Amino acid sequence: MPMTAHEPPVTSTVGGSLAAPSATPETDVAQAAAGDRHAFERLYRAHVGRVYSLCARMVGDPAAAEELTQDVFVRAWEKLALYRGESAFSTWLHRLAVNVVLNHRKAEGRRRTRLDDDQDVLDVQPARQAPAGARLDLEEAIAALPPGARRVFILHDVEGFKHEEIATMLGVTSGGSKAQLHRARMLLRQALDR
Amino acid sequence: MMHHPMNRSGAAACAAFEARLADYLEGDLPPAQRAAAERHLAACPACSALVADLQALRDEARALPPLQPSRDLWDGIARRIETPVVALPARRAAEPSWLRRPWLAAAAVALLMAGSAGITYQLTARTRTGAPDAPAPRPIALAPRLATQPAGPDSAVATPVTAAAPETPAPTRPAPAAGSTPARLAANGAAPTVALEAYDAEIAQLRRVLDERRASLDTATVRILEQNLVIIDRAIRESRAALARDPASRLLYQQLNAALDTKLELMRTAVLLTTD
Repeated sequence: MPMTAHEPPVTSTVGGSLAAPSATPETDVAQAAAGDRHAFERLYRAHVGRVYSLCARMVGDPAAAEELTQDVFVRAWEKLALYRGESAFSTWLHRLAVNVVLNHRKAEGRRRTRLDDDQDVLDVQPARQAPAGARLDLEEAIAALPPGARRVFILHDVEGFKHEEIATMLGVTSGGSKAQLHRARMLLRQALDR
Repeated sequence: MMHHPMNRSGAAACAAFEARLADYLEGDLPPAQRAAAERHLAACPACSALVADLQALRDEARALPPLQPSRDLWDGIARRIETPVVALPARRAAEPSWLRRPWLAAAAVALLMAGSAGITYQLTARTRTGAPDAPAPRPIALAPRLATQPAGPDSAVATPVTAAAPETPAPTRPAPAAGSTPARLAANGAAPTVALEAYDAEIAQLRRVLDERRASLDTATVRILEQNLVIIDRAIRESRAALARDPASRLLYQQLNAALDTKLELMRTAVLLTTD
C-alpha cells in the first residue's frame, strides 16, 4: 500500500454553499451538532486527513481505511449531540476513530475465528514481509510490523496516547502495551537498518 | 561488543541495560536505576547508539505527515447521513438483555412475526367470509404523522429527514421527540403512501449497506438474519394485502407498522453489527 502523504483530493460542496468564511471550528461543531450538514462537511474536511491516517496505519489497507473513515464520520454525526466539549473536538473525534477501528478489528477477528496477537503475547509474524534487501521508509516499516505491535506503536508513538489509555482501548495490561511498543521499536530499527 | 561500565562483564551489563531499556525510554525507572542506566550509556557506545536510534524513531513517528484518502469520501458520508429515518417506538426500559443479542432477538422476532402473520391471515379470512364475530370496520381518522423526527442519539442511524423541512436553507437536525411513538402509517388514505416511501427508502439504504458488508458478519448470523427477514417480509406482504381489502382497519395498520418497525430494527441492528 502506498503509505505516503499526498495532496488531498479535490473537495466538493453540498448545494454549493459549503464555504462559510466566518466559521470557526467551535461554531462548526455547534452548528453540526444542531444538524447543519454544511458545518459538518467543513469539520470533515478539516479532520479527514488525521482520521484517515489513523485508520490507514492501523489496518494497513487503504480501501478498508477509506471505508472506516466514512464509518467514523457517520458515527460522529450520530453522536455529535452527545459531545459536551469536555475535550477538544479533534480529541473526541480521534478517540471515536480509534474505537471504530478497534471494533472493526474485533469484528474481523470474530469472522476469521482465529486469534490475532492482541493480547499481551508478543507476536513474531510480521503483517507483511518486506522484500529482501529493500530499504524501507518508516511508513512501510510500520505497515510491515506484526499487527499487535503496529497498533501499539501507532497509538503511542504516532498518535500520542498513553500506555494506560492504550491498555484500556486494547483490553491488555499497561505492561503488555509497553512490551509491544518496545518490540515494535526494535523491529523498526532492524527493518530500517539502523 | 559492549564497553565495561560497572562491575559486571560488558555483555552482562548491556543485557541488564536492555532489560530496562523500555522503562528507561518511557521514563519509568526509579531514580537509582535510571542513574545506573545513564552511567552505562555514558560508558557504552553501542547502547548509547541504540537509545539514540530508538529516540529518533519515536521523534520521526510523531512527525509523520498525515495521509490522505485516494478519493473524496464526503459523498458516501453525505448519502449515509441524509438517509431518511423512520422513528421507531422506544424500547421498553426493562427489556431483557438477551433481546439485545441479535440472533436471539431474531429468533424471538421470527416467533413474533409468525404469530402476527397468523393473526393477519385469520383476520382477513374472517373479513372475507363475513364471520359474525368480526367487528364491523369503521374509518379511523388518525393524524397523518409521517416520521419527521430522527431517532434519538443512541439510534443506529440518527439522521434528519430531509423531506420534513424543505424550506430551511441548510438541513438541520430537528430535536428528537422524547418518548414519542409516531403513527407511521395512518388509516386516512393519503399518508400511508408517503410513509411507506420513507420506510422503503431507509430499508433500501440499509439493505445496500448490509450487502456491502455482509462479509464482516459470520455466516450463521447472516443465515438467521435472512431467514427472519423472509418471515417479516411475508408478514408485511400479508398485512398490505389485507389492508388493500380492508383499508379502514386500525388493527391491520398497527400490524403493518409493527412488521415494518421490526424489519427496520432488525436491519439497523445487523448494520451496527458490521461496525461494532
